[in-house]
Amino acid sequence: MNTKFAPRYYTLALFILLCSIPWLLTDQGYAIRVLTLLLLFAAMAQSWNIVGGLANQISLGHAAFFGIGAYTSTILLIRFGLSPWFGILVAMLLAGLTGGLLSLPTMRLRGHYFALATLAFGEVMRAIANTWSSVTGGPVGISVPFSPNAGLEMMQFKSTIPYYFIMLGALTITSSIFWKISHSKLGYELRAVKANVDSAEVIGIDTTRTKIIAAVISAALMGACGVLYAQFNFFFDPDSAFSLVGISIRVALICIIGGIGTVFGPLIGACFLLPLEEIFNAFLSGKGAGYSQLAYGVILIIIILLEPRGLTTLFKQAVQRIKP
Amino acid sequence: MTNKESNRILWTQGLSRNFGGLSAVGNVNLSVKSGELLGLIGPNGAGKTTLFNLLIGLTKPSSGEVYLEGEKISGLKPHQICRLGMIKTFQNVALFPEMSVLENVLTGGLLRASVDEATVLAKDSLRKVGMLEIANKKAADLTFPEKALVEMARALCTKPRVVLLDEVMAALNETEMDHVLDLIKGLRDQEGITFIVIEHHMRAIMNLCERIVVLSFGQVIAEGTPLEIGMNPEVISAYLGTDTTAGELH
Amino acid sequence: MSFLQAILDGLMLGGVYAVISIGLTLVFGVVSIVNFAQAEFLMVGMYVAYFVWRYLGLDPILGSLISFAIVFILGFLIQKWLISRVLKAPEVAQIFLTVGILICLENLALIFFGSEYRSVQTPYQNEALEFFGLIISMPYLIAFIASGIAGGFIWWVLTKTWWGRAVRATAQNPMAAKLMGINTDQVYRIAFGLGVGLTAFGGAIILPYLTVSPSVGGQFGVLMFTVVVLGGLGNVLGAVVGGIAVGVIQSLSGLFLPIQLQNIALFIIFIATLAFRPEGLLRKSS
Repeated sequence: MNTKFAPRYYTLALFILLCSIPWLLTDQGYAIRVLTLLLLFAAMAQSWNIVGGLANQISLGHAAFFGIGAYTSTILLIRFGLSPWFGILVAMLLAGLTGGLLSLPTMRLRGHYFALATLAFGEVMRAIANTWSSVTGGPVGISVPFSPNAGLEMMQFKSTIPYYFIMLGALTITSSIFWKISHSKLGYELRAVKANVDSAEVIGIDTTRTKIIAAVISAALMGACGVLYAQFNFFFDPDSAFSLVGISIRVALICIIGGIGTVFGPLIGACFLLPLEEIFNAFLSGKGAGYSQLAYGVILIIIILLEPRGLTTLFKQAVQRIKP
Repeated sequence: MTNKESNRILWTQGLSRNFGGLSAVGNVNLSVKSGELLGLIGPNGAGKTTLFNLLIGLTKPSSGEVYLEGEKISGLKPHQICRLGMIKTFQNVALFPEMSVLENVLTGGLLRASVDEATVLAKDSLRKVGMLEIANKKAADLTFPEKALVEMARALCTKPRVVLLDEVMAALNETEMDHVLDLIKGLRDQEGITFIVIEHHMRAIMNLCERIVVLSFGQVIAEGTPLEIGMNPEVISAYLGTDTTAGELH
Repeated sequence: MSFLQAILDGLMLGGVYAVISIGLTLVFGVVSIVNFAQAEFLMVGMYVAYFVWRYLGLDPILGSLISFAIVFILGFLIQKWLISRVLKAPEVAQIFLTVGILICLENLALIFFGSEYRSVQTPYQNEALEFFGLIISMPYLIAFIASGIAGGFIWWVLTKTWWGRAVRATAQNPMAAKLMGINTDQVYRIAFGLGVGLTAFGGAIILPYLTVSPSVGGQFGVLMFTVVVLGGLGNVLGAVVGGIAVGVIQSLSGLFLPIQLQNIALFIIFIATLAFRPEGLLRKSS
């Protein structure tokens, strides 16, 4: 089979499928809201994938960029009436800048240390958001002002369907960027740096610059997702926007479960994890707080013990076992 | 500047590197002519690899300078030095295990070319070292000699002026070794590349190199033609107590 | 005056931070794994001490021994059944396994104990000593002394007992240790149990002046890691020095910054250490 051909067709079919789903569901209903969020989280996981999958740096602090994005555009909207479409640009700039700055001191850190540093950073951003009430509104959170006549220009819709397509667009864009990078010079450089930093340096790769670029792109995209979330949810607070478990870990997990470093991994992971969470929420929330999260933690442990490289690998292995 | 000096492509002045209280490389003054085939030998732990690391910027010198084609390169990062034309191979071979042979080699070409151009360059390099048939194999699946050759191909892709080979012939048999020796000589003759070669195979060094520098405990203890080195009593005594006997030096 | 007071408070706190963090650094030094869930064991230790106080009437300082014992066993089993399986796995797997344990522990606590804050009442809670115009609060002092004793005990175990030497041998060279007949798997289990047990102990002894809730671990996470990174991951003496340093820094920054911003000061130190001196401020010892 000519492998270069088939994936393109599958991808197109998938895209068409995803485009047609909303019309089959009740607008503003539960299902389409979940799917919309699913697409957004897949896009977030894809942003994370650029650093986690290509450079193999496990960041546990991506919520920092998400939150920066959400707060930036919302504050600009509230204070200056700036449309979120422009807000996204500013948010990406700020988030990207932050990502680049953070990558400097964490440059030489490997594995656990990098995870630690990024985790701490995310927590610090949360603390800042909680304290800097004058700007962020503090622990109470911030609401996106609802204007009844707003539409496309303000990225506010009554129907869920436009949001669905915006999130689909986000996933498509982040995935295209991921794809483009992995097949470009930068992709080779990242893989080289991931495999052996010294070796990469010796053959002429500016490993520092490579890492910074990947970090900036990943952070900027994550920031954009933060904006989209704000516009969709109309409300967020520091503990949700900068959430360690709800955003940072979740996004990394989605990517890892689906298949870290692969372009479809984020979507697969999101399709697995988010409905699962919803099921747990539905059955267990009644019993009180903590059950669904507990199930989440247990599933995580089980998956790690079964196959650390994710569902894509599990799937590939299963397929290989079926083949004669 | 004398004629000899104007021919130098690489030289060092008082190059030293200390680790704690230990002098790994001490006050080395090296001078390499353009197009030379220089051998670097010495007992294990003499500091040969450290010297290479100092030359290409993986290790910072404690004191002293390195010059490449007249430019001071000591203190520069390895990727900058690579850009200026010097590269080394690693003693234990440092390929990117999850990438294919071709991908490994073309990554070396990305320095000055696009992915497509680098791919062409890579295939050419692989052909030169005789590894083109296994271009699609995963690097982790290669034998050690294959890996060494692929690493050389990758180094060649960076279009170097000076190549530092660190025990590239370690796991080779006689035929393979002859092939590599011819390869190195050919590259020097056709493309004017300068080689500094660390080797323990005395036969290879004696056959290949026009000049040899002997390192012991980080210091240069002798320099000269293979013949001179083979008869140098200090060199012989530096090697006594290791596996190499005086007889093997001829 | 408040400056000196802050330093004194910092020293007291620092001693406790040290004991809490020794566990983390021990786990890393011996088992070679960064336990992201470490702070949750602190929480468990606090709860154990709380319930021991509530139903058995034991002062948390005594309850801390029970905390230690229970969490030691818990850690032993976790190492045996879970951690051991990922010791050779890619780092991603290790990170997320302990993260998964973190999530499970915190939510188990939430399910079983609810989210209310609980605190104990001890006779000495509101007492304080006066010392040249400086005030030493009694719970701080007692915790500090208990930490010192625990720290000293660990020191003695690690340096003077056969088992301690086995641990250090395994930490330095597992292969060689195995060849010498040491059961490294057992060492890992005991080390992990000891590590999390110590942190639990630390949690118990600070119960008199803190409240416990399922999320209390989060307050100490960044702090513990800062201590350990400052002292050098795996360096027990470093954890002591780091603990005291962090205590003093936190206390001093409390003079100038609101509580949440104190975390920022810590974070900056944390990041700076990781960036410029990842092996810690002390020279390498064991």
